[in-house]
Amino acid sequence: MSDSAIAVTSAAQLHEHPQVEFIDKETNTHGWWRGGVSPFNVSYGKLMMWIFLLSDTFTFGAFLVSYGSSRFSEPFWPDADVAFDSFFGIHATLPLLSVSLMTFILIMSSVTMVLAVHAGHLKKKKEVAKWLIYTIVGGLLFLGCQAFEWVDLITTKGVTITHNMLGPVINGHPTPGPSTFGAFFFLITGFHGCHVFSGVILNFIILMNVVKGTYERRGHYEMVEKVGLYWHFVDLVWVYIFTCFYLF
Amino acid sequence: MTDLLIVITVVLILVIIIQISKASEYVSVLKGKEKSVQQSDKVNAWLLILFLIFGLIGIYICQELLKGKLLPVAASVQGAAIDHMIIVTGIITAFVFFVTQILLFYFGFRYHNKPGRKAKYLPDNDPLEITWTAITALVMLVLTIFGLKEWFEITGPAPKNAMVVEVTGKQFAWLFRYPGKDGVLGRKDYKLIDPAKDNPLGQDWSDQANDDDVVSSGVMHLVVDRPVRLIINSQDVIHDVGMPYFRLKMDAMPGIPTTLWFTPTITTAQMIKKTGDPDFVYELACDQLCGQGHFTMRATIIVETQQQFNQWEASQESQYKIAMADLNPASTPDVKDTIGTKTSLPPSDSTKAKVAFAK
Amino acid sequence: MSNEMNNPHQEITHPQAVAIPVPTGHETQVAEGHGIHHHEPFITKYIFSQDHKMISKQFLITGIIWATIGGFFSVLFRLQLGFPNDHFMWLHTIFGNWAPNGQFTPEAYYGLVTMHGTIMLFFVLTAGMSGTFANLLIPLQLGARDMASPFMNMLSYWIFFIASVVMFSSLFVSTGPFSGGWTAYPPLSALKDASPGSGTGGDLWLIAVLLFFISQIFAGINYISTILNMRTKGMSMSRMPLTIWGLLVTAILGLLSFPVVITGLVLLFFDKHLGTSFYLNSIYISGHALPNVGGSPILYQHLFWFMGHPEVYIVILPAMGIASEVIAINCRKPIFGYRGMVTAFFAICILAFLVWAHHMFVTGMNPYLGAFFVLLTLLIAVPSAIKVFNWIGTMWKGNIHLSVPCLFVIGFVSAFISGGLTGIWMANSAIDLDIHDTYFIIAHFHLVMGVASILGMCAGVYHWYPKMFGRKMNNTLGYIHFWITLVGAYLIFWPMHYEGLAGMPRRYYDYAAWHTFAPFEGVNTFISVVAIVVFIAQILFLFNFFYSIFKGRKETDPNPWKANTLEWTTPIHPGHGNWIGEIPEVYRWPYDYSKNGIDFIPQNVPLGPEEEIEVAKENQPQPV
Repeated sequence: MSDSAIAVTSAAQLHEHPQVEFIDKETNTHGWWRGGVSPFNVSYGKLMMWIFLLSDTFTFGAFLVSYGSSRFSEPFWPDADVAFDSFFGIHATLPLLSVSLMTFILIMSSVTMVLAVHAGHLKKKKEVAKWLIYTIVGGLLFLGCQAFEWVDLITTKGVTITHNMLGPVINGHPTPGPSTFGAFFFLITGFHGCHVFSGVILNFIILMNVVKGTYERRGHYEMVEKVGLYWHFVDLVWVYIFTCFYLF
Repeated sequence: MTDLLIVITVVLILVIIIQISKASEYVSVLKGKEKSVQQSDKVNAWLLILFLIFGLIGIYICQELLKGKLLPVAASVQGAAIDHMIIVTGIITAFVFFVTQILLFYFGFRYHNKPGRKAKYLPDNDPLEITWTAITALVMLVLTIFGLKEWFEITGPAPKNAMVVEVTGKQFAWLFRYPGKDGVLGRKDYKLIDPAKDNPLGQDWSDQANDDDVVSSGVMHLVVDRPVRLIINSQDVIHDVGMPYFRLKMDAMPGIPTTLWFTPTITTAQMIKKTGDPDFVYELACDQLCGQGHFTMRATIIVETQQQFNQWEASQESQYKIAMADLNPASTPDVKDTIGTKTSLPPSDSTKAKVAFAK
Repeated sequence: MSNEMNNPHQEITHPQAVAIPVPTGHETQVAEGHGIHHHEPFITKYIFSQDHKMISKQFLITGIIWATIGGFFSVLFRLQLGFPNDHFMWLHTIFGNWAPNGQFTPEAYYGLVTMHGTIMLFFVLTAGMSGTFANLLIPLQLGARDMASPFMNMLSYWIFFIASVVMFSSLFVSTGPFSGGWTAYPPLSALKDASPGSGTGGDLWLIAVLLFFISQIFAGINYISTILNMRTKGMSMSRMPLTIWGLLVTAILGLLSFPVVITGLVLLFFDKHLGTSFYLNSIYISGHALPNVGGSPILYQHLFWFMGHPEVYIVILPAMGIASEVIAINCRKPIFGYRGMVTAFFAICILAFLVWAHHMFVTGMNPYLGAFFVLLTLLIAVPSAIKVFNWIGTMWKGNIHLSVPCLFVIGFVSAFISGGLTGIWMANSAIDLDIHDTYFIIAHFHLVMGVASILGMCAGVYHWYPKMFGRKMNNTLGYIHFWITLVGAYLIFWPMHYEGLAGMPRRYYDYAAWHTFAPFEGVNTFISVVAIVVFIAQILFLFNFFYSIFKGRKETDPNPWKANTLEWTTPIHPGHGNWIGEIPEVYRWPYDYSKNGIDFIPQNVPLGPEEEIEVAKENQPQPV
């Protein structure tokens, strides 16, 4: 992976586009789109990350729209306050407490990522490493919380991808609810979890490179910025997932 | 042996073509680039114009040869409207087709490379471009309005006096259910399906509305000039009720019933006279790939007068009676409540949806 | 793997091998391409190459191989349709259980139909088309030394290659390849009990298609970033050749639509193997009722067609770009209405995302929703019409050199018109109720995107062949190939319109039992015979293509078509890095043909004094 990162960056030597402001001689205006310069004043690497994230937005978007269409065609849908009411194995009625904590952790990890990027701009190697470690810990904590939540849902609530015991209560007896509740929940949070996990791995790889001094030698910490973009995206997506599954 | 002969012939022809082509390439080198290019341009310009002429003749021949194989007049009110739309759309598109194809090939011929010919530098012409864009857009809007009028009529609610037939597709056959005298289709649940117990549709015998429902397989009976509303289901994969003579089709989905209504206007007997074909039948084809027997999923439709229909319906035994007779040869319909409760299952969500729909 | 990744990296940092523009005699010679043969090991030059030109050739050759397989499959199922009562024992010899008694079984037939669709649409006309021409032309026509990320570019090809291998292996599964149609509608595609092909064959199909989409997303990210970021000095967006515009819009369409179908296929995979009910609802099959309730098969169709409709534009837009470029060069005239063409591309790009449900008019959709899609579908005809008018306008008063690529473009426009106009029929939902899923649809989409884009792709191959291989293809063979293909395509697909109007359903194995459709048996035989002839004629192309790579006449003219675009300013055999010395700067749009009496003025030629005055006049504020 680190090899590939080097290979990609060194390919930049094929393109000699200076990152400078470009003034069009003919019209004496800023000629960002006239070629010879990136119109957004970003490196191709960052641009590619942006474009990838745009594409990934559609993946998550399609998942959430499918979820919505499935949910609104069902006469009954489990109440989030009931489904997510335990807190790390404590079966107290603490609706949404654990997910709020998870969300807080993830948002804080975004903050630390911002600080890592900032430190990168200032070329402070140790600072970058420190904030990256915090970010990685945040990501891992988030995944841990999610694991707790999954286990709780499966073992105590009886919700799996094929079954759902959180159905309507008829004459005092709980009945099975729509199975798509669990299926979509596990699929989408799982898919997001995969993104977080890959983010942690990416963060770890760039942390290694930071420690090794790869970016210091390269003269810039753009790699941290690129992974930072990805990390913020994963956070942002979580906000939507949180809204769709827990708040509505 | 003949296979081998054909293969050898084909290979020989290919080899000859390739050798000739190679030789002609050398000839063109000898002739010089300019000259050979001009010659091939000339040949191809003539080929373009020949293609155009023979193409137009071919279109005419194709029309003459195949028009007899097209379907006879549409046998439903909706089908006639659709045919009318097809004709109007066909005339508009045919006009554009002939104009553009003729210009395309004619220009290719007329302006082919010749010594001394100079191309005209013409990068754009805004008024012209705006005009043809606007005209195209306008024609499209007119077609939309025209088409949507029919679309809303066809997909609108069925008239009150419409008869109801439930069509169910399964691999690879069609089942039809008629509501009987009460005019109501009984409740059903896919979990109750049991062909061995003469319950191919999963009718719930505890529902009295099922008592007089007639189920038939392979043949659908419709009444001429009386609107019919089809409630379309599938038991397994997606099928499609395709009725070419009525110019209509509608998908059959498992779990999600669809509906389609139309008014047949020509009885089978009249159609036999019209087409002069004594074997004529209205055919119902599955139009959505549903597995390896897809192409065998055929049913026929008999369009008849109300009187004939009534006679036919009276001659049919309800599925309930058939099933009960099998379960307990001595039983009478009175026993049904006990049996019904035995077989009935707690209703699932989809059943509820279906029941709501049937109402 | 890491070794292979590393090698190109070393190669790139090695200044001698890359033609980094240092103007010394030594490097210049190396960049000519002679040096590279000695410097670069076989594996990084031909296999794991990061040179966009080599990747382009890899895509093209893989595409041609797939096109041969896909085309052959169509001949095989046409044999069944054309000669339903005959037994061809050699089929049994070759295909064994697929064709006992020398006749394909229905299951094998549906497998062939499905594979033909999937292969042609995804592997040939998406990967083969975009992969070839985007990789070749984007850097060369924009004046870039390579793609933004050559490594990712290589990765996208190799993921596609793995997808190819998986798809190919699915042909050898004992239960047969996937046979549920290229659209893979559940429940048919989700249930083994519904169709044997939905077992292992279906799994492999699913994996292959998923890998393919991932590879195309990777490729698309690269294409877009390269087009936006890597243009040479002076190559403003409005000076880009229309090929690049076409490829840009294609990449955007793929980038935003493929993720959606990926989700659809993931859900399908869950339904297949993990017991979920995303698409399954109340199913009774092979004697028992499934527990799944609550799913909706229509959800899959929405997710699928959200990709499926942009996909047909992904197939046709590169061909449109190629057509625009080739026709302008061969008419020695600027493309008529450049701005209109670009606007039309964008209109298509936006509308392509808003018309998908016109494939679903017969699913019992809400009529008001249907009306919305009718309107937008008919409106998408407007940009397509603009394009056709502009191509014909370009030919008017030209000096048309009827070269092989030019003829293919004329054929492309002709097929696009014929197929496009019937699109107006079925865009109207009421008419679609009649002709949906009949042979009319087959005729429509084969002409408008099958034949048209194949012809466009051929035009591109014949046109850029000298750039790719430094040799010429045989012209005479090219002409013969063109005429047989065009005439044959019309003979095949024109009669199908009549079959469709008679209600003949598509994807039928045999029509003998049908009173309504049996009269078309003779027509079917005719179509099959023509299809076989056209397929055999493609052997001429295959021969011409592969033979000319090694034995074709050497190209001696760096600009054989007298074209304006930048790819012809490179050496005949460009090395990795494309240009010796500086990348040329661009001063004008690519369509200055026959301007001021000059045959052609390449983009890198500065404006003459006359033109300077013109530009100054245009820049002056217009009196209101």
